[in-house]
Amino acid sequence: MYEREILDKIRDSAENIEVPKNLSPDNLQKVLLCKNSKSQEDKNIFSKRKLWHINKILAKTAVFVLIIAATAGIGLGIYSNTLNSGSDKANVDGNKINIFNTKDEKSDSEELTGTQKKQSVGDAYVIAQDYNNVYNTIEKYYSTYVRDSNISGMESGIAFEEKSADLSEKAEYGSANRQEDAESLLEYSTTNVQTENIDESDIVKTDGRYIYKTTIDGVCITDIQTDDMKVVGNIKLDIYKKEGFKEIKEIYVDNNKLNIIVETDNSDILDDGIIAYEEIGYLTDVKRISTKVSTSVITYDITDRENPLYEGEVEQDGSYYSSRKKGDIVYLFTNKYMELPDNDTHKIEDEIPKVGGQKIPAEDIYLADMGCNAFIITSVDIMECKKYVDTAMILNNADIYMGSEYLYLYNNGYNSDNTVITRFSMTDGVISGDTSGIVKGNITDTFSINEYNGKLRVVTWSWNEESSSDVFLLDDDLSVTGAIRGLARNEEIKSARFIGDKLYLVTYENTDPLFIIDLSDEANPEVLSSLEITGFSEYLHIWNDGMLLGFGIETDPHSGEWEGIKLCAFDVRDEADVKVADTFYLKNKNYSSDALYDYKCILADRNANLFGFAVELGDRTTTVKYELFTLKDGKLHRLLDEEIDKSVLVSEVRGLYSGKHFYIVSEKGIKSFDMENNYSKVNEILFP
Amino acid sequence: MEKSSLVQRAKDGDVNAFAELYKEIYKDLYRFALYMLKNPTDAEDIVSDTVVNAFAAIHKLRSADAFKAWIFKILSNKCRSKLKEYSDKYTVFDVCADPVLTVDSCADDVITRQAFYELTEQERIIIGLHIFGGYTSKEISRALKLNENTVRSKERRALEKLAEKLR
Repeated sequence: MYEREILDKIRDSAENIEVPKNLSPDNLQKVLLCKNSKSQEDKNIFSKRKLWHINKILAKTAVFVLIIAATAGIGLGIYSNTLNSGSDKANVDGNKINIFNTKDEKSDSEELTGTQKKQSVGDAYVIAQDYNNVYNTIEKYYSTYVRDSNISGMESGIAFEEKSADLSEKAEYGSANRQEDAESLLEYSTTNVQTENIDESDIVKTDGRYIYKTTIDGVCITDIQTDDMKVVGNIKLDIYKKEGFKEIKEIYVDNNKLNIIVETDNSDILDDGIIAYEEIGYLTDVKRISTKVSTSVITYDITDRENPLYEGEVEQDGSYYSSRKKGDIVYLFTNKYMELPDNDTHKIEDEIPKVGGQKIPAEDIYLADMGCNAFIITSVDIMECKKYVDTAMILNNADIYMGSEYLYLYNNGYNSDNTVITRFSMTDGVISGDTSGIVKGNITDTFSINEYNGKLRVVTWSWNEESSSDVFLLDDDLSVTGAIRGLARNEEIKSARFIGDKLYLVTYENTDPLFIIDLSDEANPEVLSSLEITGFSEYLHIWNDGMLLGFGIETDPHSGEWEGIKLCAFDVRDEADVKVADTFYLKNKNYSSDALYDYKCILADRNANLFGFAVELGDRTTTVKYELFTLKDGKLHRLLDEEIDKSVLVSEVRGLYSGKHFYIVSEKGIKSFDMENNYSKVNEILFP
Repeated sequence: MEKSSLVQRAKDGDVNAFAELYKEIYKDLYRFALYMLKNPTDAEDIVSDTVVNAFAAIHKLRSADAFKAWIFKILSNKCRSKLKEYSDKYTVFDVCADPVLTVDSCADDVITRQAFYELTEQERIIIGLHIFGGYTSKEISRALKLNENTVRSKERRALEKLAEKLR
């Protein structure tokens, strides 16, 4: 695996570095004495008594102490030995009794109100009875992991986090990205999202008539209804406030509502005289850093784009992780470390995260066996933006996937060969866990997990002595109904895309097999074909006329050297015989693109037949360009190869279209092009 | 000599015992600091500071096995403070010349190092702790207050970036 090679290369590059003589063990005494010569205390530092003096001297300089709070494990005690080839669900029969939301009861419990009580989730989580439960869970984590200092070195088989787009497809190749403005039947592109009809916040949004772009301190609104694009509205937030430095993250625009997600960092050095934890083996008289990060959703009414009206906001503890929007409900996900309180000056109550200024009640806290990362989920109705609809906190690490019907949390589990998946319902914004399942391996890619017709399917990657991929089809209660195991041994998963009852999977070692897997028989998923090509795709997107687009890297099959970026059109009409219809190469090893790893950077609009992304061509002199392609009669045509200001962040460039104009948006400004006139440039504006 | 008794003796103020412990890891300490700070003088100072702090505080070290991880914690905290200082002072870090040019440095190593320096601070810390500090990704995630999965994916992304540069 090239990763190990690179790590070795870095290690080797350091081999020959000469360590300054002053730092050699022989000179140690000198070092210790030398540092001490500034003090007026006794220079004899070898007696135990004198160590105390040194502590005081050295402590005079302000030392930044980072409270080393650990991330959570998932308490593998629960899950150990549950994996065998037969069943992938732990204690299948035994625990069903604990699951309240059985299929029969569901119809009753569906009439959820805000007071709906949360229940335990399968084997994965139990609801805290009180804050003492929470304390115990954190305490267990700390006593298990924080004192454990076995340095075994990083285990190999690092879980990847591939990002490939994931669109839940309907049978016909219907519209996925096209949005129509009710008034003018304007067609425009939207954020490339994982799940159709579930919006994701982004730095650029459009409703066809305006382009909304986040700025350092707010949001800029540009009118694109006329060729001369004017900035009409500019929301500015006070980001250098006393309460902390604010960072504008992402936005949502829906009709006349604009939501801004803002993260506030109010971390500070505490002058409370509390000594840093012994854990770190640090000196006394040292100040602590308190990390205080919170994330807010601020809502504006933008009926009058020139005068956006502040309506309200809600704030929750934790740093911003992700967000989704379904209908009028915005879901916000944040992470917050929880320290182990000493129960003296610092109690568990002080540590409980707050949402909307209130501590999260125990009945909204899901506990794993042990953990100390608070994963906080909230829901806000954009029409009633001053309060939360619901809150849930999971004392565990989590990644999320929101399908059309349910929200799924999964935790690859450190040092774990399995992944626990928990499902949450989110009817009308009420968040409630209902069931859990477990699969072998790790979910290494955003698009490796997908819900279709209410059922989940996943493709995982495992590494034991050799790596392999497994595909699992899960039932309503997240038990495995069918699987393919041991696929693509010794290869990594590069991209995956579930479309209807097909899975397109790209794995790679030196060449890239593209697998087409049939999932229509839930007990027997089956590999239909595989196609070997050079390089690999990092992102897959189903296209029109039986085509599949693969966006990725070209490599030399023998040396593994990267040769450039490529866009591949695969003809997948005959599933047993997949062919490459066309490939477009950006053949230069110095090409790179954030779009390879971040699906939101990609424009993938089947209906307008546009696939676009920004690239950086850099060695010494960097160029930044936007590339736009279309696929006609099995051939890829490049529509744009537009150079943009090389100082922009490639990850923040977006391409979009509205009506007959194409726009490239960066943090500097917007460029527009005429789609009906060979993409000739129409105009360019700079943001104020 | 057995590590636990070395630690015990170091706790009692025995510099030689401490030196024995230090001997095993001092190169990695310096390499880590250099790969983080890119500046040999600052790296030397920081390792020096770390050693002094560690010796003074070693009576707090609970487990002999934890010595390396513990001293790396101190070192990486200091490096991060230092890097923060840098970013307050400088806007662009010019990495044209490799600061470490010894007779033994071959061009390949220099190129690798240059590419490494182009990674973000966080990426360098993650990889540095992994390679030089021998940290597991769990330990890194604890030290940096990041989600474990985030650590793994950041490392992976960084290594891919390097792979691209070092082809």
